[in-house]
Amino acid sequence: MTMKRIFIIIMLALAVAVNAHADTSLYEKCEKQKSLTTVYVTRAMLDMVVNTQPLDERTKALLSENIDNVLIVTSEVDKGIEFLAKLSKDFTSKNGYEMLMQINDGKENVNVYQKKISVGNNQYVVSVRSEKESVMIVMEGMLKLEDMVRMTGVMDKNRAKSKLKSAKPSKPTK
Amino acid sequence: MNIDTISRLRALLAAYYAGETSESDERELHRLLGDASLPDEFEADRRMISAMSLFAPSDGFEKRLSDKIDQMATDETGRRNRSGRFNITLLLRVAASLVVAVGVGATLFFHRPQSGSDLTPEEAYLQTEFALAVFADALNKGCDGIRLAEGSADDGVQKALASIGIIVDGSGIVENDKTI
Repeated sequence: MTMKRIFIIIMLALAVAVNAHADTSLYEKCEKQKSLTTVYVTRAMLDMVVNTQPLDERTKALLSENIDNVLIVTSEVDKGIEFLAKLSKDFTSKNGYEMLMQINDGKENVNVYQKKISVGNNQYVVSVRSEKESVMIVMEGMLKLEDMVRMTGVMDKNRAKSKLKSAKPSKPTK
Repeated sequence: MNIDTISRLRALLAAYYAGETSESDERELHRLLGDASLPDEFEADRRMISAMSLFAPSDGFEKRLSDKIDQMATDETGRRNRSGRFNITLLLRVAASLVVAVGVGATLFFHRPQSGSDLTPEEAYLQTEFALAVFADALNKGCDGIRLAEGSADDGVQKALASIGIIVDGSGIVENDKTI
């Protein structure tokens, strides 16, 4: 009876440990892949951005109050695109994800997923896949979808991308 | 009673008063004191020991006592063994607790909060802006899709209404077609 109790305690502890590991594995999985460009922006870095960059009040509020961390994974090589396609299969209801949107316009396949981490705290995953490029954005924080629509309404992806490329052009090669 | 017997009697008496006689010694002492040729000098001892024998334990007391002591010794050994088993259980508990503690500790240590990528604040902002722009683009595409679907639905309703117009008012065929 005592041994059974000890066994149950060990199993519970292992379950907790495995769960904790699963929560961080998305970043770790991507970080290990050489075919991917992975950028992880932490809460501390976002605070630094707010304090050092000339930003309007709305953007400051978004970065300092709503977003906890941002993971950006991009790839322009086949191996990386395939890896992200496989990874997107993990965003299922079994793993706590709810699909919010799926758009396939012939050129791009766009999927938006939401995972509730705790009360008011959500994780959003945006996966954009095309033949030449694949992008996955994972954002966590006190974010509601309507806030995201309101705050990101004026943003232009191509402009932001060209700004990013002109700032840091390095990419993994085939 | 000869000299040897008297010497033996004296030795037994001395041992008796010192509390060092065994059951067989006492039986011998009683036999010697009950001898008809017992010298008068031992009369007082005889009466004393005779009186004391009234309070003597029953026959086989020594054996019973010895058995009891053996039993107690056996019980004590058993208790010690049980105590040993308890210690093993306790040891297992402590070991299991240590395994759990080390496991959880190692998990926390090796999966400590992620450190961010090596970025300057400006790069971090550009990356975050890009992430938000990708998000915005995805949401805009979704909204465009909804508007397109609504527009298609409106077209369908208009066509349906026009069809009703054809049935109700035959003169409106061409006009309705143009409207559509």
